[in-house]
Amino acid sequence: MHVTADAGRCRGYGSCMLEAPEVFDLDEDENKVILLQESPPESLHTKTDRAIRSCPAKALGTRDE
Amino acid sequence: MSRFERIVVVGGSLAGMNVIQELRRLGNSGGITLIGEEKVRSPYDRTELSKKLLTGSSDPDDLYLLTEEEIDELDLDLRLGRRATSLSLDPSRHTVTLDDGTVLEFDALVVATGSRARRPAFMGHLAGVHVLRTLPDALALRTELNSARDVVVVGAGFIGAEVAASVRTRGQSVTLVDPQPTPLGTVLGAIVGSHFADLHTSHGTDLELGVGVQELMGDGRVNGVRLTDGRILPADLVVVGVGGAPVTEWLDGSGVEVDNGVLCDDGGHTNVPGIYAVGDAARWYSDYFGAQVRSEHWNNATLQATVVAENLIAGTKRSTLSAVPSFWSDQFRKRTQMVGCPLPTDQVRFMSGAPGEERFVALYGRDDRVTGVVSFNSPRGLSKYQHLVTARASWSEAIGSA
Repeated sequence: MHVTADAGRCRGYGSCMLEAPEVFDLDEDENKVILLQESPPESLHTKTDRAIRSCPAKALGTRDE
Repeated sequence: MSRFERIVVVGGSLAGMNVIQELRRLGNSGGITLIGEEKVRSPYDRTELSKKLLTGSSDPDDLYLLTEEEIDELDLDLRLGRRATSLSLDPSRHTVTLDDGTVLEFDALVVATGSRARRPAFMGHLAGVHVLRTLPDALALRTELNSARDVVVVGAGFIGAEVAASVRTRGQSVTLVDPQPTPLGTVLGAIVGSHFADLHTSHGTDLELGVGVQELMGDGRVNGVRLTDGRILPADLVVVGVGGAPVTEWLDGSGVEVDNGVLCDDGGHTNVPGIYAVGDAARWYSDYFGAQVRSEHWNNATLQATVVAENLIAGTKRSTLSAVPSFWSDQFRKRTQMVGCPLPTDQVRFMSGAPGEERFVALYGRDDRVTGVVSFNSPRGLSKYQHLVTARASWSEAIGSA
């Protein structure tokens, strides 16, 4: 799993951070997502997947490795 | 592959469309019919109707959630501009009837008919009086705002407070009226509610709190709002935001249990095999609350949709919803977020910042349990404390460790 985050689309809801704080953080001044790890371990895949789909701005995704 | 060959989804907004997207993502390739009352090219982001659409910083094109190509790829039997009027559960044949007389047979049905704006009796039928629920509602309101002088917003819940903030952001005068002593008071309580009263006042919103609406005045078009204390506010545009009611009349008499929403277990299943409900129209059992609760928020709609899609695929209750409710609100470019469901009478402790400051995080508790966390301009703060809500942590330990 390779996570992508589009800071241009991010509107700072932080839903991803609430779902998977190990993978996503938020810069509160810029109100933009920060990707903490691009390739989370298998144990975080379900959480990360939920985090990606929870984004109201559809700023997150995955790409093939 | 789902064990259900013919799935009908009634309601084409966020929750209904998310069920469909999840079904396809999980490999379902069966027949899906989508019945959508609103004739729009895609579901849209309702949350921005009271915000960016009203201020004019967004147009309808910015709000659509899917492209036309994405809709095509879902390979749906689309029935837009149509409304389901009744449901028949004959043992040999389950069908839904549409307002044009069409009868559709199904193996599984998803109720996603959402909610409609409540219209209190005082609204009457004067021109210039609006509710805000749909894109056409929002566009009509925005058009009339262009020439409005005295705007009155009735109801200082989240929709009303957001509309008032958007009117001020446009530079127009607005009065926000509510029987509660503070805006958002029924959700956030008096202490945090006072912060929002100050936020609005400092941005020029006129507040009329602790007073209700007696009647709307005018001849053909509204020209004033008579308050319960007898005073009259001049008004050439009135917006009423007093909550939503689930759209479930079409299920009356069908055998599907409804009580302020379609009653469901924690997997979205109704009392009828093969019939599920999601979003604003649904009232799911929540293990967290030990009761059935109805939630009219984005996060709830998307989470429930995922659970129902998984259960439709499995043909049994494989997934349940464990999430605690959460939502957000934007006013004056400030974002408020909440996890949990506190009562307005709960104790409040500020874990960082304070009312009136640029950011704060407030923890709510009662009976020595943490019941909620509210952040103002601080998603990180929300993230830091949300586990206390989920775990129903001890209130005294939580505030002791602050």
